[in-house]
Amino acid sequence: MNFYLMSSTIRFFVSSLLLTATFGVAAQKKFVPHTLMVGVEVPSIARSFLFSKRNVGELQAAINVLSHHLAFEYGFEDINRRDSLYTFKTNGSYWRGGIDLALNPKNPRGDVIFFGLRHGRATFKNSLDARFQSEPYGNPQLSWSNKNMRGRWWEITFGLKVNVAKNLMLGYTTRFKLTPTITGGDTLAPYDLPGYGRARKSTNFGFSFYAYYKLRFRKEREKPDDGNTL
Amino acid sequence: MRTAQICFVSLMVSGLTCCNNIPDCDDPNTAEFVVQFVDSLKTSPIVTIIDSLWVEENGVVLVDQDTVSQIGLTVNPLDSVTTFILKVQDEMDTFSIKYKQNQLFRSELCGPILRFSDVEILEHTFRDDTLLTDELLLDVVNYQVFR
Repeated sequence: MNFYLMSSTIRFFVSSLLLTATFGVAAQKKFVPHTLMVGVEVPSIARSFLFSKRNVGELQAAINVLSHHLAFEYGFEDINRRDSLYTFKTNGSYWRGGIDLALNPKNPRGDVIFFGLRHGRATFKNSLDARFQSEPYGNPQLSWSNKNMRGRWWEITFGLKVNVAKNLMLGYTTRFKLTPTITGGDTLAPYDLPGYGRARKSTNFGFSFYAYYKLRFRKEREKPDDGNTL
Repeated sequence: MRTAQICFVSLMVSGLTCCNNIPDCDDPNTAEFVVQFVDSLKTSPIVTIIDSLWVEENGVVLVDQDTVSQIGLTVNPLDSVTTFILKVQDEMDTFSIKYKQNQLFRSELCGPILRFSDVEILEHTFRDDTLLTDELLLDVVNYQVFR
């Protein structure tokens, strides 16, 4: 099976699953959103302070659909790699949207173990200034750039959100990223795809650690405790 | 809740330790246009005494008094055409090659690489020749000159 066919099959499968999950759970019971969780990806902020070559950040907003969540993530990456012979810059922003299906919908504490799907899109640019070892031509300094690149990909996610204080949750999302597609990188091959990772890898793993604040705008109906405290 | 706690700790550890790639930096950051001298029957490479070989545009001598069966020539990364002049036993030949450049950033450790593709022989004064491959790759013969 060629790569294009495999990629299309995965996209079709993921899209179908996403739609079925979203409308299926909402159709079963009345969809009454009551909580919006706003999270910040903590390690990205720490990395931005600790490493001058990376300025990255990510926010997540998730609203409940019954016990599940519709999630939207927005982030930016400004990566500056350099040594004595080159400076390579990539910067841009990305978003991901999808659903987190709770595997323990009846948890009385509201902690969530979830399996989810995401679709990601990025807009970014890159530039390279480099000195090449080419003695007959004076080891010239050369520059290239792409100003308008776009990327998209899919993610299968798994993670956990745990209540640690009133309205405060901590959680992580592990991501299996796949089927990246990039357009506009003709001049200089992209190395990083913001939100995805190494652009040339057909799959990537990711790990995000979030601190969430819960905004409750409607009272949640009490969940029956059936003994499942997972 | 114990299962959730175990999941939380184990997946955090796996997530923080999973991704560590060691890049391969063996390749130089540019490849050469490799010319091979072959006998007139086109059967095998022949050793040739080169008096001199230089770049027409800047006069830089790439080969001076050498005995070889093939030579690697650095093409000009500042231009899309490079012309070489070859002097063998007081006979001078000229050949120009045209190419496209593209760049690839390998990794932080290895840096960028400059690649040349779509190579064409624009003109030449050899009696007979053939272009074998239109991409500059390490230690791959691109062009054969029959003598």
